[in-house]
Amino acid sequence: MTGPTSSGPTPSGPAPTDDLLERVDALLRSPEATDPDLGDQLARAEDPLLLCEAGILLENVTAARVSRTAPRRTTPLRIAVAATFTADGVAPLLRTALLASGLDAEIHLCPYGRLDDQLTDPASALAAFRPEVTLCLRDSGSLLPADWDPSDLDAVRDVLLEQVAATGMAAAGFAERTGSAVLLHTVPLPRPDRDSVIGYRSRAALGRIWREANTLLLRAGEEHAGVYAFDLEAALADAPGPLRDERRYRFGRMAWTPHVELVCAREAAAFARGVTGLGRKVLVLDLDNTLWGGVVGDDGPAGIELGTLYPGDCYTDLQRRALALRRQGVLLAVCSKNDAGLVNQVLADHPDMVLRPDDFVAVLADWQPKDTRIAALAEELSLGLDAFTFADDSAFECGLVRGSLPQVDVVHLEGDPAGHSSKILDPARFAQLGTTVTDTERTTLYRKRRARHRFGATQGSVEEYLSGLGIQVLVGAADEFTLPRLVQLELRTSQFNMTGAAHGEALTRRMAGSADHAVLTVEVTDRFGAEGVVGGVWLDRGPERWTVRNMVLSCRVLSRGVERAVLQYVADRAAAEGATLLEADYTPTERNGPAASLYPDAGLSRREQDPDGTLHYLARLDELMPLTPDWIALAPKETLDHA
Amino acid sequence: MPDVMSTLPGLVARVTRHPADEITADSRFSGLGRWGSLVAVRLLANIEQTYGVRLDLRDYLKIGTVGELADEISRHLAARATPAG
Repeated sequence: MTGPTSSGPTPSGPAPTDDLLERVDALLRSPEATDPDLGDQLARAEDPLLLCEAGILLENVTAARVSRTAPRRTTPLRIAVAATFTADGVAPLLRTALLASGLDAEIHLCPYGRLDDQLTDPASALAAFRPEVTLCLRDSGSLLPADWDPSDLDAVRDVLLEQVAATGMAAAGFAERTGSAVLLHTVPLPRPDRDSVIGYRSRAALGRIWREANTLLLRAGEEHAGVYAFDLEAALADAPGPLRDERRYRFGRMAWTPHVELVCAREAAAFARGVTGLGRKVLVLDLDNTLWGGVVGDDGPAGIELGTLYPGDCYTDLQRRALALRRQGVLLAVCSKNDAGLVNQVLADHPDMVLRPDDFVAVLADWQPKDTRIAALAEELSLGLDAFTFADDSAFECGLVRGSLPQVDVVHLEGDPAGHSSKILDPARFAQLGTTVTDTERTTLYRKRRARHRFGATQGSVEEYLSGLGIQVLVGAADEFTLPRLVQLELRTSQFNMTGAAHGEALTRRMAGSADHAVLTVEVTDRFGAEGVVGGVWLDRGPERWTVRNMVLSCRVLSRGVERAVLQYVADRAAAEGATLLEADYTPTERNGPAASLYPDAGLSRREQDPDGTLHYLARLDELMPLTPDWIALAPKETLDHA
Repeated sequence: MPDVMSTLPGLVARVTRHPADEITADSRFSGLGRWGSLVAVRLLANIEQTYGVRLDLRDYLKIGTVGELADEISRHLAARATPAG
């Protein structure tokens, strides 16, 4: 699976359109057939009519059959499309965009014009579908009364703002009730409505009023838990062709042309990657002709192209974009075939460099094969290769990494360097729902992790190593500051995730504020520094029995016994509040094998198994053995609220 | 002017999933498996993109056979090729 614009050496440019549909047909003819390159081709195709037909045909084809690697997420994403207009054209485009992103999906299309009642009625078909992601698509006709009066724009404004506020509330209510992530968007105003106002002052007023309404929609996506918004109106500045074809609208209430439907579908797929935690986390960059123009080994530090003049300014821009990513939590690394001394000199001293040594989690400058270096870096950072994006100008290096590390998203920076930044910044690539305090400090955290990994290599026994680390585990109730990070962590964590599920922001907030539940955060510090929030626990608190609904731990802190200390904390709290039993659930997934042994090893006994494979474990609290390993100091961060 | 009937069955097949080699000028749209208003709108978009014409939706919706549609497209192509006056 790769990001949409990733490309290795492309042999012959874009495939002729019907060739793509023939490849889809070949998949349909045999259920065993696969076409690992098709996902990338679909991601690159720009013809919405072709992609729509492909999406209709691909309804029952899995992402695994059109991807170069097994999908990270193994259960289909439940995604609903609810629109105030006929959105039948959006659903197949969404299907292709999701498949191209490596996501299998079950798509539910609400009947036309039913957005508002489907969101607000607790018994609606939409609610019964239990979507994980809900797209709320709206056209101007649902906000603007048909007989709006251009000579009374104040009245128009009142109606508009009321409608939009109701939309925000309905979305927030639905997110809160169902736990679904809800995506709103700004609504573009079609040309006939704009042209209905003939006075320049009034037309300016209409534009302002319309944007007030869109500003409210964007604000809903900033403020309400579980509600997000994307700026469709702004995105359309880059779309070819008009917003609406009046024939399609008058005949079938199709409010968007196919090009606009494609923009929306791709934004929604990028959002789905954010919701499911599939956004890339590491950007590995080449140096020569990638981070700067020219070859430092030949041209010398003074001869490389950077600065304010073309083409040097293109490379400077790419560095600024990379820095912006770093500030939002993406880890940067250098992987370059170069002399290390020369590279360090340029990174530290070149006056036009934007990125400096501290911006990188690792600077790998030597003559080893890049696939080997990237694989080793993934190991040192304890991150999966599917978290990596690799950008290089060399077709050879791109082909090598693409071939031997198919999980890595490869961006081939070919052609005019003016286009390089946009290639890297594709919205689906680094998509995440929100950035948190930990994101801004992530480079420092991972630099420490790398140091820790290397410290490990110099120690004798594992226990000796762990004791030398001086690990402290702090557990406490999630608060306003740590909760967003926790929600993000549960989404991103697939290995040490006891159920493989994610509660989502709305539900987590509700559990954190309830006397019958609790949400705990886990922080770890050691001699290399603080790791920040690296884990969490979702609990039911009953008078007799406490139940661990889920526990997640970042792979940053695995293999140190932290999970046992956390379980100890839960058991201690439960006993202190008068409970006698501790229950814990484990649902096996394809990736959470590392978590399977925690409950049985801790002495909980296995009880019944649900049809979905969930195993229930139980223990009497007074019979539990001490769980915290000798090398860990366990400390409560604070007492639980509502206790 | 290109012969529209040499390419149109391919477009009709694309949206209806009816085999292209079984689509003739006499084929009625209503007899092609998945025909319906949404399919008709998809076909219209494909035609307009492929031939660079813009049809009057009222006329388009009245058309019954693939051959009549080819004639309608040809008329638009001819009108475009011959400037008025």
